[in-house]
Amino acid sequence: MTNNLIKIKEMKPLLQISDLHVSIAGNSILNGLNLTVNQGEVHAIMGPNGSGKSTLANVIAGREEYKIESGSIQYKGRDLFSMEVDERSLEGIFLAFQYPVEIPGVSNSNFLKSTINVHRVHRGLSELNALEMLKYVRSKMSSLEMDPDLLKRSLNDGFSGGEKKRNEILQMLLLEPSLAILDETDSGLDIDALRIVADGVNQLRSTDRSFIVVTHYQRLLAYIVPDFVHVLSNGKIVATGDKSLALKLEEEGYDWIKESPAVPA
Amino acid sequence: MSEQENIVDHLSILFRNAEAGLNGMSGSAMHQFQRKSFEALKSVQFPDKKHEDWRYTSVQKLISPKFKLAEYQPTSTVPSVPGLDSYVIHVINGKVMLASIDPRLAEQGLRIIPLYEAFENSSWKEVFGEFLSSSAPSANRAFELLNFSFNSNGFFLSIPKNTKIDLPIEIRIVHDDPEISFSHPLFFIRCGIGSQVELIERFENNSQPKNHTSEALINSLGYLYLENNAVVRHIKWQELPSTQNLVYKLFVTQQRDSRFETFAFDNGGLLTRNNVEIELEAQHTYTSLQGGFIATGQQSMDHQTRINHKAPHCESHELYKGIIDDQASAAFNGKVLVHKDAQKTNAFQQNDTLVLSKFALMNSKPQLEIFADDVKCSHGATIGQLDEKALFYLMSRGLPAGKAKHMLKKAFIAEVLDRMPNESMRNYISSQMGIGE
Repeated sequence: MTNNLIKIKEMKPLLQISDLHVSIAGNSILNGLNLTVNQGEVHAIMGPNGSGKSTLANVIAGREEYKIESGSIQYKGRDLFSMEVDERSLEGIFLAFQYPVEIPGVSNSNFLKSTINVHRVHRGLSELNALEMLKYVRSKMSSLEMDPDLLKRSLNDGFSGGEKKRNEILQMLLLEPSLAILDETDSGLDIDALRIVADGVNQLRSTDRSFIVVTHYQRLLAYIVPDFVHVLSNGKIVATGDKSLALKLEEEGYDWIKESPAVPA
Repeated sequence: MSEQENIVDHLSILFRNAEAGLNGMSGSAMHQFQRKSFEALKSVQFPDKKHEDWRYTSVQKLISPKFKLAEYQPTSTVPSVPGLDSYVIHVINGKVMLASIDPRLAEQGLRIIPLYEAFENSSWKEVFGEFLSSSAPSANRAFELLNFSFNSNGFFLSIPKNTKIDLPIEIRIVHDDPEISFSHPLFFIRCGIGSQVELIERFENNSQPKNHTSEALINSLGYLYLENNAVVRHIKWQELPSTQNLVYKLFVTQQRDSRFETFAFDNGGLLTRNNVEIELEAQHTYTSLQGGFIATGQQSMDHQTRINHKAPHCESHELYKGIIDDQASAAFNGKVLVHKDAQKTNAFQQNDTLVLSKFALMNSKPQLEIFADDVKCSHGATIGQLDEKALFYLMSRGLPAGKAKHMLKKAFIAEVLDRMPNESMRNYISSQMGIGE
């Protein structure tokens, strides 16, 4: 804990969420959420169903159906809300979807090609040609033990639950984001798939890259060891600790959280 | 005087002046037929919006009392489709250009016969002569009667028994008169027992848009007769200048064990009215009608299909998908009729449309009329917008909104287009429709 506090002082904040209030269809979901993620940190967000975990993930990515009532998010020192969804991606925000969208008629390989090249151009690099692209994508696929035939299929169309989640992690590996948000990537994965997905994340961990891992369960955090664990309840962070907090939640559930006052980070 | 009378009066004068010269000799069988057709047109008149099948397309917008018969202006060209080797037949202002027909067709023993000659031809008379004399005139057939009246140099092709034509036959239909005018392409194709052919109709015009500032109507009519075991693959591609209107009609008669498959894609023109009528006369036929269109600006695209299941054990499939934007409108009116004796019929019909602007309008009416009791039939229609979740997903990977929408539109049409076996045409159409890579 002490080490982490020292780190915070040294490092540049990547994402700063201040007093964020968000609603959807008139129901308030986030109620004054504060969170700072510095470069190189892994933050786990846990909490009971309906506490606002997925909302937080989607708001950062730019999903429009949520209404920002008040508060702010600074990303790389910029007002995140002034950035379009695609710009957020180009600037390094990546959301691994809880439910990846099936898009029949858009081939997975064309989609990956387009998205990789649009990122490369944004970074001032040249586009990859078809052969280079195939090599690059194949190498990442094999590290995730993915069937190369998935490239020929339509995007997520008819993919199994595990294939969809791996396809998300594949995109993350290919796009090399600055801030990756994993929205319940572990749900629906068996233990082998979980390990492969976690290995994918660990491959990317570095001092200039941050993660927000949204999860229900401690088991993913055994593989992706977080620097911080936050507990979200009723749209607020009510407890923050290190990885031992996740273990405590696993043992005791969330009931003790609901009765206790917020613990400052 | 009503608009309707105005048009018919105008056409009468036009017909009187033109009739002797349309197809050679006055007094010939063809001439008699054209006269009879014009008399029938005068008696039935054009349909108005009260007519069920004409609710969404106004005849007044298709035909003007200022029309003259299109005259040949050798300015128009239609580019070749990259990678497509085909036997090309040019039809300019309704006239088949005999001199420019691919000579390889004749080498295969296939002769394009002008209609006035076909009217004396026994092979033509056997199937089409009888068919024409048996169809009763009605307002719904007004554009056919108009075509019969004013056609000049339509053509007939007979594909002999068990002949497999190695390359597609490509008909390039051009209307190239820059003045207010109409043209009436007409063809009859008899596909002999066990024959196989791929037929492509291209309605295009590559000339400078400045040459086409006046309104024009192409009133095109085609008849296909599939004898037992004949297999016909058909593609219709339309990318006319924005001043040209198209009334398109294809009649297909299918005999036992024949297969007919069509892909109709529309992208250009101002008003397009597509009619496909299929008569399933005998058992075990297979029919597949597929179409895709993108209508923007002020365009209007109206699809009318009718499949007449008269015999048992026949199977038909229909899938039409369209995207409409801006102030464009479109209609789909698909009718499947299953007669009392057509037991064990399988008939499936689906129409899906994306409406991208609040000013765009789609009317969809899939219809089934079933008089047999042992059939499998379904029909459906969807009208919707681009999937917001899919759009967000694509944009969340860095793709700009325009590119993401483009991918979704392409994917929507691809469900139909990707089924087209002819790769050159498939690539050409997807690039011309702006949904290529």
